Amino acid sequence: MIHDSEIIRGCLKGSLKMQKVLYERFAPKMLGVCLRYARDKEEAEDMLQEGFIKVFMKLGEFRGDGSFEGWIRRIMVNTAINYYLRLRKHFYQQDIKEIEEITEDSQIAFDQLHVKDLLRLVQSLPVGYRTVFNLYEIEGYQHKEIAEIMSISVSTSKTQLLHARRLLQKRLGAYNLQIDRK
Amino acid sequence: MEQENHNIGNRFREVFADFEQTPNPVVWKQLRRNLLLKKWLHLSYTRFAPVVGIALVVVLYFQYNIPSETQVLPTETSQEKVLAPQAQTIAAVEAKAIKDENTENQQPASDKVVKSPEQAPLKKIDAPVNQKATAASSHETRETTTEAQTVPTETTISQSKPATLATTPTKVIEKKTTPKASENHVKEPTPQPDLINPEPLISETSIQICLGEEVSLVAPEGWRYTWSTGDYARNIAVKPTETTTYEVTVENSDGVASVSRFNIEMLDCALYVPRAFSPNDDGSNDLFLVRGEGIVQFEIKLFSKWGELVFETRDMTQGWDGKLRGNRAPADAYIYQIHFTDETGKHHSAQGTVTLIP
Repeated sequence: MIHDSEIIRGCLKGSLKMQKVLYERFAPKMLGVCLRYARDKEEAEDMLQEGFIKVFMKLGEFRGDGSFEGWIRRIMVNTAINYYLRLRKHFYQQDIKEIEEITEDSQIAFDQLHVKDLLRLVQSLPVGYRTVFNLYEIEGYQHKEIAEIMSISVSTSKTQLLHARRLLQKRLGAYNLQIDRK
Repeated sequence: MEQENHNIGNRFREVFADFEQTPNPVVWKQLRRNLLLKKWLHLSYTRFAPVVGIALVVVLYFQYNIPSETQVLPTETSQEKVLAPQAQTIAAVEAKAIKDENTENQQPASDKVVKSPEQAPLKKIDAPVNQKATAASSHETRETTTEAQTVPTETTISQSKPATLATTPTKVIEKKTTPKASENHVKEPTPQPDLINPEPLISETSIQICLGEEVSLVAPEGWRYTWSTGDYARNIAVKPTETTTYEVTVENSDGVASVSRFNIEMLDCALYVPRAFSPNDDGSNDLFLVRGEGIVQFEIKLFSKWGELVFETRDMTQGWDGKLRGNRAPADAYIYQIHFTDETGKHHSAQGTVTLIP
């Protein structure tokens, strides 16, 4: 197993081999991140590619005082958000209409749900809800930070999170709630 | 209702914590194409960085020495400057070779310096810059060469330390000191004045370590090495449990011996970091608590493997209860970074992982 620092050095030297090692080490995990922010796998892979280019270009800026994976993950998340910001102009309006229909969706039992099902659930959220939900719940960002990076107000961030949770809950159904209560 | 909403977030967080999926191979192919386009930029950067680094070191070095040195040196500086732009066009391997030459050039040059007070500020600058150069180019662990001509030795240590600390932020902090026990006696004009010295020179180096730390001792270069420990290698690693003095007799090719002494002073600043804890309120190991003695200033940061700061304190009596924003953090390995200052005001750092067991 090659150590992260060795890979970083190799990549900084421009070694294509080390770039591949870095990519292969982190790509599956980072695709896991991107998938949550995307609507489908294609979009996620776009984000992944864009994110990795940034990783390689900014590698010299990694100071090594935190986790390398965490650093890459932050770049991926930022790339995903930029993707969202670009999309927002076109899709924001559509999202709001979408919500009305979704709320009446059928209930899904939790024990039948695997990661991929949950992922589909997250991906089905309107892009704004999805991004806030991901940032707050999975990445652990604060509302203030979310508001800053997404250029929305803190209260919008809070509302979107609330809506996202309610929507997910509705879709997860009553059975899921019983499990959670335990 | 609100509580249940929060649980949804937790549920998703747990599920997605280790979620990964293999991307389509096409992604890498596209990425590689993009990277190749940008490769020339990387290449010019990696070629350029070490050369600039070395040039900077050389310039800084000679700037400090010009007052006490003869006029020979300024011309050397200009040579280096000429070398630098040339090297850009040469392959990266050759750039490395030039670098090696430079480091060799520096050592005899520093031997000539007799005034020790001037060395002190110089070395400080020397070490970090060198590090940049090596980090960018290759992984040659260079020994921080320190001069010890029966010079106040305490300062020597403090110089070598920041450099090594940065490269090895683990608990075992290595310190490498190479006392150059050579002095120029220019009474007899011979090509190698070093070897004429008839008296066995004694140089002394003091090193302060914390209990449990290992030190690597490096003898000055010579023909044969005899350590008080019975070792015959040039460098030995020692892990004393109390204050100890090590001696090495170095013979050069003419059979002239010199003695170097290493005083390893043991400080009572051992740090105990648990490897795991179980915050399940059963009364045992519910907190992640670091214990230590002789620690004046203390700071710990704990990160999740995503790089998220989960816990931070400057109070040693404070431990992490395994909670994150009021909820139980997932069972996982967490990365800690500890910085502390011991009673003598020396700075140490440690890094590692602790496992949260539910």
